[in-house]
Amino acid sequence: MPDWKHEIRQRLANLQLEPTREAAIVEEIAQYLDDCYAESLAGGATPAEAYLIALAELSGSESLARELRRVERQINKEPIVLGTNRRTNMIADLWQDLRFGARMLLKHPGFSLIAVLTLALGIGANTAIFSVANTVLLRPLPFKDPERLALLRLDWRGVQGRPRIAAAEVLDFRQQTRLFEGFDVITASSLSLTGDEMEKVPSATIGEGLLPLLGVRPVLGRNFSEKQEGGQVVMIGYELWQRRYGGDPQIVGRKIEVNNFSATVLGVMPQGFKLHLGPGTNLPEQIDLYYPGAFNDNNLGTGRGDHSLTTVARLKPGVTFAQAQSEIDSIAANLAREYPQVYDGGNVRFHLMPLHQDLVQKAKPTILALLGAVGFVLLIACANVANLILARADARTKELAIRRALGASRSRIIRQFVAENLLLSLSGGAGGLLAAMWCMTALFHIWPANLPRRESIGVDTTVLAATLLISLGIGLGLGLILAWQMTRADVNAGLKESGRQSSRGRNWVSNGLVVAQVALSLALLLGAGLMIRTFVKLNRLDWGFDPNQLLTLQVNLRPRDFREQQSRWQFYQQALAMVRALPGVEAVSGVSPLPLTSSAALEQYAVDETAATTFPISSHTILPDYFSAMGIRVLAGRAFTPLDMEQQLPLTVIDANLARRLWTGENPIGKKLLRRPRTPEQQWVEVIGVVEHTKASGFREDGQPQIYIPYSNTGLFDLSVVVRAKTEPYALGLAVKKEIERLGTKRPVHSIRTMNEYVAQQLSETRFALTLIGLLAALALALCVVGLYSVISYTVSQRTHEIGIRVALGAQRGDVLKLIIKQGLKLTLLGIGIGLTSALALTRLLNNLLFNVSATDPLTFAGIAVLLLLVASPACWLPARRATQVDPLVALRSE
Amino acid sequence: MSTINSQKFDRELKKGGAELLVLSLLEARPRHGYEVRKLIEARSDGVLKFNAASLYLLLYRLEKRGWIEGRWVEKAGQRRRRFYKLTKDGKKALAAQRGIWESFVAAISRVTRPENA
Repeated sequence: MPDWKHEIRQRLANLQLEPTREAAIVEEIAQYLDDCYAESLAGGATPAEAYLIALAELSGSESLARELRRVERQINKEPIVLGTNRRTNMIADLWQDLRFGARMLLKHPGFSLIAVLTLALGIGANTAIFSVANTVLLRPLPFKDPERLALLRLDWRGVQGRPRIAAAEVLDFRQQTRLFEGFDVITASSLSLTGDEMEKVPSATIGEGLLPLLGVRPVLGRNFSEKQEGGQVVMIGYELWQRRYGGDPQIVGRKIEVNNFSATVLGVMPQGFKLHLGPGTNLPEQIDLYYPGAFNDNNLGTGRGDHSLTTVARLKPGVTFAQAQSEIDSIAANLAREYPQVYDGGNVRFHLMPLHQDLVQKAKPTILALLGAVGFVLLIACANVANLILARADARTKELAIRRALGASRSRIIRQFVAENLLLSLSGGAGGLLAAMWCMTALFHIWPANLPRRESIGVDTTVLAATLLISLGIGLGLGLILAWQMTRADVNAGLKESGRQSSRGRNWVSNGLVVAQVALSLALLLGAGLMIRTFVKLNRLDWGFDPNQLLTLQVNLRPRDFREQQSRWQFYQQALAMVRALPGVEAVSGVSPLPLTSSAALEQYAVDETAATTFPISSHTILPDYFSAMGIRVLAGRAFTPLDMEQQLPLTVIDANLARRLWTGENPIGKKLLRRPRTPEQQWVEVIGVVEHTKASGFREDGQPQIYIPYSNTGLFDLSVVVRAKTEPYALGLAVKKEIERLGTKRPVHSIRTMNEYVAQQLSETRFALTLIGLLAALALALCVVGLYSVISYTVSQRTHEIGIRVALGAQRGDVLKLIIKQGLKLTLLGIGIGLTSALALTRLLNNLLFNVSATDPLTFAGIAVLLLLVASPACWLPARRATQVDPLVALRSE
Repeated sequence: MSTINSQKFDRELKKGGAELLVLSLLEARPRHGYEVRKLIEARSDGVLKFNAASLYLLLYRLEKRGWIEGRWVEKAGQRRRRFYKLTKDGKKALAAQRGIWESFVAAISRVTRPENA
């Protein structure tokens, strides 16, 4: 057979087909010619004739070649490498994309550094605050089945949400409920480690079943058991065990002296153990000493009148809170029927609050506000980086056009852009994570003490996962924005000399991002502005007393040494006299409870004999000279004298709010009130004076009326001594402590603080929120101004040609300036408009943090809008000024 | 009609019908290129003829379109040959083209039949 392949190849030579494809075509057509040749031979033709007949079949091969070129030319699929599968190919592609992306980023180190730092700032801030939110709000409490634990709160006689109930009520719930595994209690106690080294330690009396109810076992020894142990027992905290007893492994069974009695250490609590009980429970955050409680008159009590027990309950498995609350409500109804006088015919409600929810209710608003703020900052940072990327994209138009002309598919290009931006965002995320970990220590130092579980806050796997997710989301988002913008471009236009494409689409995106940045910055600035106004109002607040130069100390008397009330009265008289004699002391007195240190001590009062309606009044027991020592103005009548107290006269001083409430328009002096009606201690007391109202319960107190009882009528063991100093109050602390202890308290005088420290503590939450929100707002503003500047600069560079034409046609420099500034201001004003509208809704979320300032305060809104406009103006003016310096000849020559 | 015009008309007719010819021949069973060429010539009594260039151009075009599918087949004692068969899309295309062709032919017939006196 003739060799047709050479002939065929010659005719297909210009096709430049892939070798295997060419070989296949050649073989097939050669086979055809063989058949033709054989048939011709069979038909009687000579070999030469048959050869020519067969060769004639190739006439028209030029058109074959031409058409084949058209048919065969296509974008070839990427060859599958033998021995691999599709997945391996994708991984190879991804690796290639990442390497390419890294190269591109390293080629422009300045841009990459700015972008990574900006993202690190935004992501880092979010990581830090999310760590707090994760630990405080999301992580379950460290108890067994914590979702079944609850705190009981009480609404009764005008007081809402009191976190303590009476002993009899606890026993009633224990006996009558079916849906609960148990109830147990805790109450603050006043214990000191005595003996050679006296030390007041935070302590509490707990029900014997409380720790098993929580599912907590001591790390050494055992829990208080149901059975009475012989003699006194206590449990100690881990930190106390290490600090005071050197971590003695034989501590269990050792006797220590507590409040001058001998007690055996039964067990040691686990390291870092905390009870995690919510606001208002007035229990120490860290408890060092636990005393076993029992329901008898000497210990926890058995009565119904004294609401002093913080009560924890555990629901049975499968029981919902709604069902449990319903059962509690029906028991409360039974109690109201059985004890109508105590429960005022049913005017009582016991709330079952999930323990975790109860714990975080005070801290939650601040945490959520901060989460919102850092979220805004992150969005602003992302917008800035997006604008940077879009600006750089212009310079890559030519690169992209060449790649597309060479056959790169759109999806491949998009994948490559996404990979590049993922590298950017993941680097930013890593940087942000590091920054957050470093900053967390500083954060906790300034966070107010009411932050629960602060000791557990840190970066855990949840926080890491969240940071990773945020970084991936940002990288994906930025990559897709860029890819969408770039792949819309006209390939031919991109290949032209200038390499620049139409910027209309990009301008729309950039302008939109800038408007969004302005709106978000405005919202943050408004938050900061409202917080500043709140802080200013708080600093100027009239507390009703003068907290300056006021020293306070806590005195506890040992009961067995002062059994008689007269002995206690004498003690305090002597103590005051001795302290008054010290140099530097202007006035001294005593009070319980000390303002700003605990929730109000409420007592029930009535105005008439029948005591049909009683009302709670915040009651303070005071020593003589209290009002002058505290700087509380006497508005009418007089204060107590030592003689009033000596004679134990049934007198009282009320505040202006109470006088207004009970006797508007009348003179309250000489009027009478029935104290503790319908109890054995009920007593008529006569009003001898009216003083101004004080914010004793904190700056958010709602004007709860106050009443002052002379010490002689109560005879308390424990009082806070208040000393007005002539100069620096703290300097007197040690001297006063020594003088009082010398009189034989047998307990250390403790909690030596100035009143201003308590005031500062009141303001600490506001100060903290203001500091953080203020910092974030400043950061947001800086990013926003930079973003605005870069967008206006870009606009100027795009419009250079147009500006050149305008100037050449007679436009003045001022006209050019106005043109550019107008554009910048338009964006700013649009952003401000959107920001103000959305802020009207958003700032309401700050309500819990504001004081005497409306969340939509018009003065703040207007002021911040003007401030933003003023700050943004230079960002518009600087590029505009550059535009006026454009040489029209140069501009017209450029494209 | 001039010779040039009728040649042109011929060419155009053949082009339009060429795909239909090939697809319908592959409907019955897979065939190789020479077999297709011989069948067309035989069944048209020599009126329709293809050479290698035009036939293989057509086959490759139909293959790229996805209407036919080529496969190398090696039989014992013979050189391997490339056989073509109709794909599912090819069957649909064949049915459509048949319909068009039949309508076209019917229309031509109606126009060109002699008128009744």
